[in-house]
Amino acid sequence: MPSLGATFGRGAATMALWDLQNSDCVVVMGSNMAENHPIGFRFVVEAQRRGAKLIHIDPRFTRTSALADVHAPIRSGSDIAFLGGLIHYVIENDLWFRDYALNYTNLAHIISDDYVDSEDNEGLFSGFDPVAKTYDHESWQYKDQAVPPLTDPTLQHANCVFQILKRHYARYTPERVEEITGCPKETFLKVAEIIAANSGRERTTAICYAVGWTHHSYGVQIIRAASLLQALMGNMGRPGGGIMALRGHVSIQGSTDIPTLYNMLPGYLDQPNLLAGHATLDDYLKLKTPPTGWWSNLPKYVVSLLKAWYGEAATADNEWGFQFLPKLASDASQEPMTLSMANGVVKGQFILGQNPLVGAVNSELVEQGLAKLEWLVVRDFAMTETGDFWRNGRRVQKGEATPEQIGTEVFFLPASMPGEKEGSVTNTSRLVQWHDWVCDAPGDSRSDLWFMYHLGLRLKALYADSDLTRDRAIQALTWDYPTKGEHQEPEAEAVLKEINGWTVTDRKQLSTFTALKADGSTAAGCWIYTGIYPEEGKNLARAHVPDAPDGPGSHAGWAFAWPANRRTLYNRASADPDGRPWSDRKKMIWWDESQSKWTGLDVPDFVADKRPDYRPDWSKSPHGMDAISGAEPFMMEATGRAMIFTPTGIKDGPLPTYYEPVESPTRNAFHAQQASPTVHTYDVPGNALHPPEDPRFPYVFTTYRLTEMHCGGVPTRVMPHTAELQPEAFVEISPELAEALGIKTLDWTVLSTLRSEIEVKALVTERMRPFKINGKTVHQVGMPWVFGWKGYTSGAVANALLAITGDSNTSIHTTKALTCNVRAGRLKADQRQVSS
Amino acid sequence: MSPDAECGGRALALIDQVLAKRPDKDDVALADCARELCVYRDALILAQRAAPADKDARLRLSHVNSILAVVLAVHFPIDAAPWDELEKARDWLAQLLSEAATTAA
Repeated sequence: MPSLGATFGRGAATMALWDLQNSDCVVVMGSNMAENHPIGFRFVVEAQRRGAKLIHIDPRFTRTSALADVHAPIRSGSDIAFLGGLIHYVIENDLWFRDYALNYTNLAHIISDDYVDSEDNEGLFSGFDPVAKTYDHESWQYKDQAVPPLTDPTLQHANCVFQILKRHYARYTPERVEEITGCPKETFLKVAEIIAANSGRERTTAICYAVGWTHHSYGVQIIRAASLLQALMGNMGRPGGGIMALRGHVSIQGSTDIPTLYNMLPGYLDQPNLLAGHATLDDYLKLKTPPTGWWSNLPKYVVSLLKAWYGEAATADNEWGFQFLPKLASDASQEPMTLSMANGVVKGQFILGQNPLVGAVNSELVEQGLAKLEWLVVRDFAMTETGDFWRNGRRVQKGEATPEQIGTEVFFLPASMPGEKEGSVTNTSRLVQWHDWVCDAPGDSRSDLWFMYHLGLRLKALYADSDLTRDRAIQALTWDYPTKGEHQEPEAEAVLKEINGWTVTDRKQLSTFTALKADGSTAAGCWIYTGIYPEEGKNLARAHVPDAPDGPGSHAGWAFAWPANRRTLYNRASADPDGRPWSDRKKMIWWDESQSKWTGLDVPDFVADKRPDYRPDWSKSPHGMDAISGAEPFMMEATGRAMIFTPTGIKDGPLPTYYEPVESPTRNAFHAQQASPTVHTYDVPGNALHPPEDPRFPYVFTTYRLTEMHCGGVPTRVMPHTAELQPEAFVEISPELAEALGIKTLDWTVLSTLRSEIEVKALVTERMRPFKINGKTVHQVGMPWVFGWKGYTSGAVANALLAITGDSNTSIHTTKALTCNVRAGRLKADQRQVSS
Repeated sequence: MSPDAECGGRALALIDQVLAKRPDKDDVALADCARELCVYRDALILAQRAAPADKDARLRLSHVNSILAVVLAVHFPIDAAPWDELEKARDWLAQLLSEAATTAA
């Protein structure tokens, strides 16, 4: 998510999972960590054994709540009100870590006089274009756009970030938090007190989140709010402190590092955008390379990537092959792509490791899109609802379409499972771990690497004789991975070696990204991974040497964490501005004067020999890292500081502010702006949204996973021994709502929205509680989204109820806070889902 | 006028409708426009496959793809909708249809 990147410099979890055991307080919010990340949760349990407090802030009472010291119930989607309340609390009570935040964040920076805060403009920041529904960021910039920014270390200037922040959250009082979130004031205050007591020189707090935050129409801003709190409390880059971005499944982190995202190239380089002036490499680099901070090295990473991809075909004369890269013109993320399928724009689709008929929102619009494709390739190890949409899809079952009417040619290709292939996964801690081949997959099952490699070979053969410019990218692509075995399986380590990078002339592996050049002499497929394969025959992802019990605890010999095998990002912040640990109890990295370098228990995330007392000489217009002082730990940021206020990088506001979810049973109590003004909505038939306080859809609807059901469900629904653990779908309803509706456990219910209706059995449980929101009772219901019609366990597809919407920054859909109706009974017989 | 050219004509009218309403974004018209352009594009693909050596046919297809990309850029903008680009795309489409009509005649 861009929130962590915009605030701290990198879009990834800032700590290792095992470092949670060093926390004095763990806040789990937007996640049911005990059930959905049970392996990582053992470190939370260990922290508790050592005396740490565990706080779970969640709409439901789950197993995580059961193990927590405090469970703070909140209405789904009200997270920013709660987090804003915490920010207000620590500011008003002067409980923030002043020495840390004053030195390591942009709190003292002065913002433009033209800036108008959302608190002074009914929920809108300055620069809002009400027609385009976008912001111009000009007025969010630092005053006079001075370099370095003007500051007021006394924090008294009316437009310094601290004063803006203080005013922005002034109304987020405990009383207001209770009104909006439904969390009792006493519980909220208890949470605030615990966090404050467990932050500072001697203690640290970690925050863990998962898709319970990302799947909102303002998920980026929820994470921003948590980032602000952690930066204020001095909980970043320190033992047991940080933000643990719990990824949805095994290699989600890897799939953004080396991205399946439409708008990024490997290593978090932006995909060129034709409409943003990126027509040439020179233009792109000029616009994207900041003059100060680590990202001033961007040209080295871009040129090295192009050399890795296009080899000898990438030369200085052809912009290193920059024109081979497709250029963006529109949002090509999943939601627009789904709609574009239905419009005939997209002709074919590959589905690998995904089951959008279950996992994507508004299942029937997804089906309509798939039905318009000319071809669809589904690769999985068992048939999925997506591969079966043309025969047993919801629209087919309801009689709205027949298999004969669907022209899509569907190819289902069997895929191998982890033990049947070698390769790596990058886990939630940025830890790249290798797994070996154990046995061959049965029959025609092949690895995804095999499929992509051989598909590439065929495409290259197909276009080999073309003289069209547009086909040059395929012709130029280096595709020379060695293969082995009767199936010609590509060697995965050869791919990893290319990702790591080498010198072009002699193909010598590189040990560090600081060796990368912008002159075409080096190649690297993903600069942040450079060092993972530092020399021939040395794959650090295979390393399996943990620290001894009395070791440093960073486990540097266990696999490889990007970047540079650093386990804790921004760990320069574990020392004070002078380079001394904030406390002996919380030491990690410190300046060793005798050796004139940073040393400690982890690989320093800083220039190893930059003295803490180094200060840039601004009279000489310093460039790159020369502009970052020895006391500014967030070196990926142009100012070297954590961005409490983001002048650039976030589209929907420089500070998180509270909006109601895109569908809500209540009005926004803070201001007239009901929902995020920049949220992406799509006005197409079948995707209507419920207006605020719609009496037809009075209940908050949220979705979640189950421990027993993996990913989109199919991997576990097709296995009898896991399927029987969760035999059928259910909706969780509070006893109060159940009584009002005349529903008992195991009764059938119908859930409806303007998108669809589904039927599902009720589970009446006190895990769900009614909330008192803005003076009235609001009920919430929740349902696992992992069911479908395939496998031994079947059930309604929860996501059929949801609308296609998108976060302003990421276009990620919302699955956690919409509205619905619930009634006792069943659908008509011809509207019911039948398993197959 | 051929059926595919009719689709192109309808797409042109829809772009004009979208431009007339700017800066308000007419999502329904943009979706309709994309659909019409896709039908037009499919016809050009068939024509190009029927005569692979016809460079003009390939060029027309390339132009329609570009126009479609701009329509999508307005429909699903990354930042602000590129209205100026849509105006240019509108003129390309008008020119394309005019040339096609001349060729057909």
